[in-house]
Amino acid sequence: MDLKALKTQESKRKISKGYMWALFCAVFWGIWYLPGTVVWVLNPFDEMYKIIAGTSGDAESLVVTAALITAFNALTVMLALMLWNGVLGKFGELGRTLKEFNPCSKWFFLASIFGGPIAILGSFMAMGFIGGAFAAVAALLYPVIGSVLAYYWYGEKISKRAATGIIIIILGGITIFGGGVMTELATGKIPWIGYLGGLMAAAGWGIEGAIAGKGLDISEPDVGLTLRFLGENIIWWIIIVPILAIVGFPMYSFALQAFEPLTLLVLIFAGITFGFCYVCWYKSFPLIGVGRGQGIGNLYGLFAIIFIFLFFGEIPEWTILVGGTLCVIGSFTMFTEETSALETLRGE
Amino acid sequence: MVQTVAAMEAYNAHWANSFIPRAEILWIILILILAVIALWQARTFVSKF
Repeated sequence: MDLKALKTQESKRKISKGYMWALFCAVFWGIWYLPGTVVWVLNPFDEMYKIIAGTSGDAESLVVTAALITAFNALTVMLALMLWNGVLGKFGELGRTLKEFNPCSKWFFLASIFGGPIAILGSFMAMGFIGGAFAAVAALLYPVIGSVLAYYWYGEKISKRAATGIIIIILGGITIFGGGVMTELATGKIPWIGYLGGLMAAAGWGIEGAIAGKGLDISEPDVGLTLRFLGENIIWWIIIVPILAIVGFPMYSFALQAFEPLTLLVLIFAGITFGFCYVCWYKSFPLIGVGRGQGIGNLYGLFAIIFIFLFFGEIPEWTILVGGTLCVIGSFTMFTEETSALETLRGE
Repeated sequence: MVQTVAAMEAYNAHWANSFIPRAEILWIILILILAVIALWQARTFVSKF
């Protein structure tokens, strides 16, 4: 076998693995909605929501409770990533990458700012002030921001076929959640803060992906993502939760009450799914590029519907079936792209 | 804090209409299976790339 054939074979293997990781990301992200939904009804979070709503109103209570749940989610994600790095034997690499702040870890700490308090909090704000379907649709637009930023910042190539696939998946996602959005928008007065939250989610995850793509040029995705969550834990537990406690919300008393077996079990499984989803997302970027990784990752909408249907018994509407079909068509448009087009991910 | 009766009722209500028997346990098992497959694939990936 000559060198060119070996190179082509290696490239094919790299691309198929890249798509596999992006698909793993979508499956884990979709199944995360099971623990991510049920944790809201468990103590202490349901009591916290009721007590804060009684004094500060529903909207404020939702954001403050979401902040505590997200902080715990970041903590359990960190535990899941420790397991991941332990199994892969990457603790040494983790230490080395952490020490190299200027060329390396600064990108992941920057990514944590855009991914954590901007994207995740924005998503919860959109959920609380407008509704879940609107938040999901807003987040589906993040590959547009990610791929455009990656193109202009470090010249990542996006072929016409990949762009078509991403657009079809986004249209599929919008169709899936479209019915819900119409209902939510028809309910009347919509506060601008919900739209701001939607914009924060799309921009935050899109910018995070582009920044991560830059950091991943010189570091491993497994350790890079762990540092990104180290940054997010610092932001939640050292900055946001103490600030909320100082302004008078009972953050610490409710945080201590979360150490209850069922609540911890649900939080740990939320951490495993969210952590593994994120690490698979990061692993796909160096192999197939930020745009394609985020595009396939967007199939989470379809997987969320499937898992919610199977486990919660919520029957999907026809719009969901049409949207799901569009998502599958968009994915195949990208999967079937000529591998020669993906041999180099960056422009000349 | 121990789970209240209302919290447990709300929790169980989520799984009550599931199409899968013992859904309240199977979601955990499914996540564990997926996690083991992902870890196995990651180990294989590390050794081959």
